[in-house]
Amino acid sequence: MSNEAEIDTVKILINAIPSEIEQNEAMSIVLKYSEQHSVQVQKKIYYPYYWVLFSYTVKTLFGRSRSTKASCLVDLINNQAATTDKFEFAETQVIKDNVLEHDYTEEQAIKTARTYLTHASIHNMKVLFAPDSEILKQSIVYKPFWIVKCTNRDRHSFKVIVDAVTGKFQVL
Amino acid sequence: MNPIVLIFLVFYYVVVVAIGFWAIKKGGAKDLEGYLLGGRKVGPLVTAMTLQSTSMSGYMFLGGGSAGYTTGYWSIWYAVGDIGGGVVNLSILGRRMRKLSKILGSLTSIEYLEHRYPHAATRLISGGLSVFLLFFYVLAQFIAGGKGMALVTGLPYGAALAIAVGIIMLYTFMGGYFAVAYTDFFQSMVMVLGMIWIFTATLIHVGGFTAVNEAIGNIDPTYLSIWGKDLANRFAWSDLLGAVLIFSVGYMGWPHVVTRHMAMASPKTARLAAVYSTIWNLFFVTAPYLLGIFAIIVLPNLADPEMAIFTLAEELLPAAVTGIVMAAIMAAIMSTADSILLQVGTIASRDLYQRFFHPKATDKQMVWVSRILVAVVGIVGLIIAIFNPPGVFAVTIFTTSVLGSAFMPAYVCAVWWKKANTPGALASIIGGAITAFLLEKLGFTINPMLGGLVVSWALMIIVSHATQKSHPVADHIIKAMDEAIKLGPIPKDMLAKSDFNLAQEANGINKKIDK
Repeated sequence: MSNEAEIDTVKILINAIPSEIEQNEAMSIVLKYSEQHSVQVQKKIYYPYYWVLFSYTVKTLFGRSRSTKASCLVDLINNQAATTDKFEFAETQVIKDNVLEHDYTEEQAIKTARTYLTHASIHNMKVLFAPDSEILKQSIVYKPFWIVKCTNRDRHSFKVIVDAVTGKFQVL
Repeated sequence: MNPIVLIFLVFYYVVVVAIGFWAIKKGGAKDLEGYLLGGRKVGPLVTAMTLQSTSMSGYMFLGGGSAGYTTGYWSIWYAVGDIGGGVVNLSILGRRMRKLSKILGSLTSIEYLEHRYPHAATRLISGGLSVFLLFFYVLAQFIAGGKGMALVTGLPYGAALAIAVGIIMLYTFMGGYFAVAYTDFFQSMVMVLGMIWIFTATLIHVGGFTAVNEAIGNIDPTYLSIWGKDLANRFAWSDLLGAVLIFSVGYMGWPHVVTRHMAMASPKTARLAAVYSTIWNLFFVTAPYLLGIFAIIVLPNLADPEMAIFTLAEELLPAAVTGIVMAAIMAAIMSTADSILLQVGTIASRDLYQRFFHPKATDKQMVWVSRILVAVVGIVGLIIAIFNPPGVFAVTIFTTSVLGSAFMPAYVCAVWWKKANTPGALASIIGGAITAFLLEKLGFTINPMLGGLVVSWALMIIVSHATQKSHPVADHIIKAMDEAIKLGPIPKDMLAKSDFNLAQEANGINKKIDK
């Protein structure tokens, strides 16, 4: 029994984006859209991403664009990339059990990020050139999410994840 | 050629180029970055306007006018479907497709089909068919651009076409011309004002709707009939239904239109976009057909019906306005051609070349494949457009009929029917395309769009049912569909306010919980 408790509370250091939304706020956000439910925060988990900061330029009819930075986050469970706003992260001590394991490697993530940057460049800027890009910074980072359970009067329940950085949510 | 028209046309392009130059060189990295991220710094109204105006292609200005001019009020059936088309598409595919494509991790619409109906043949057939058919749509834009350029510059059609295709190819390769939200917005504003101006000026010129209908009735009362000139389509219910279906559901087969669903930000955006697009369509979709009908009175001896709207602008607008409006119309045509060419390039490089010939191809190699294919499409298209140009209306209707028949059931069932499996989808895509193609080419009395859709749906349902045991839909797809549908005791408001962008994290967390 004591061993299990010990395993549950083993702590590790990870690069995490700081939480902006506390447990009570996460509950309030969910409660706002599910007033007929009882709402309970189950735990805070840390989702793995690979962060790549690119510097890139594109060719256009008007010459080469100014060098621009693009921050890309690759989801290390689904291997999907998206560009993102600037964010900060810091070494944080968290419970190991709350950190989700990643399924993809650093190499795979960088390849995915580059492909996404090229795709976005061609289709959003309509430039039939691969952008010239170089990696300025890279790291595994974790983003905190609250898992909230909602139960109605008939005892049917569902779960919601609340992004602990932005407060946006999605039903699980 | 009126020199004032040419001066203002050049003036317009100088302004657009100046805005583009400013935005890319001086506008700051922030703006460029915002555009790269999908224009998210642009408000919903501006985004909606830009999207709608870029869908105003050569078909609108040449095909729509030509249909009105040659068939009278029958042509309005095409507009009827188009008015509600945006809402139908967003309602049926919108939210579910956005979430499912995100969960399955699909970047392109063809890739999405393969992820939902897993088999190499899905991508090979869908990609090949899309490249082949989109070529014809690009061809229609080339012809529209050539004809417009000929009217504006006074050059012979062949030379004007070569210039128009040259410009389209140049900015497709070099990029940037229409790349900036500011220029897109400026152009759509000019097009909106221009269209309203042409319509109002023509309506005043013909003395209003009652007067124009009386005058047309005196020429040939069958123009006023819902069955078309000379009652050519009398009781042809199949053609009538096909005309309504073509732009109401046919768009669901367009790879570049479907891709837009995949980029939507939230359900709220989808709803707002539907409202905006319906308001937009009420006027802008019907206007070209009505202008064609008005032209029967204003331009009774027009040699080429496809020039109806261009010639109305030239005849009725002040020279300076004509120059600017013509430039905006040309810009719209070229922008559409550019978008389709990029789509063709992506399908060829990512969905065909990388997937089947060179899985380890680098991004730069793939861009080269895109460029080569775009160059080939440009050259072949130019040759066909010079020596044997088909009608813009006919090409657009043909392309939409085949694409719609091939892909509409596959896209709809992908999110709505859990039993839709790979054999069903392949049979539906192949059967629908072949049926629509044959009905079009062999001239049967059954409308190609209607016939193609019936066969495509029937094959999807029959083959999927017949092969459920041998080819069951994979568990991860069923789970992804459940995630996209989100059934259960979840409040509607909560689903509506959920953030689409977190769908993949939700799926990732579910995977870990399942483990």
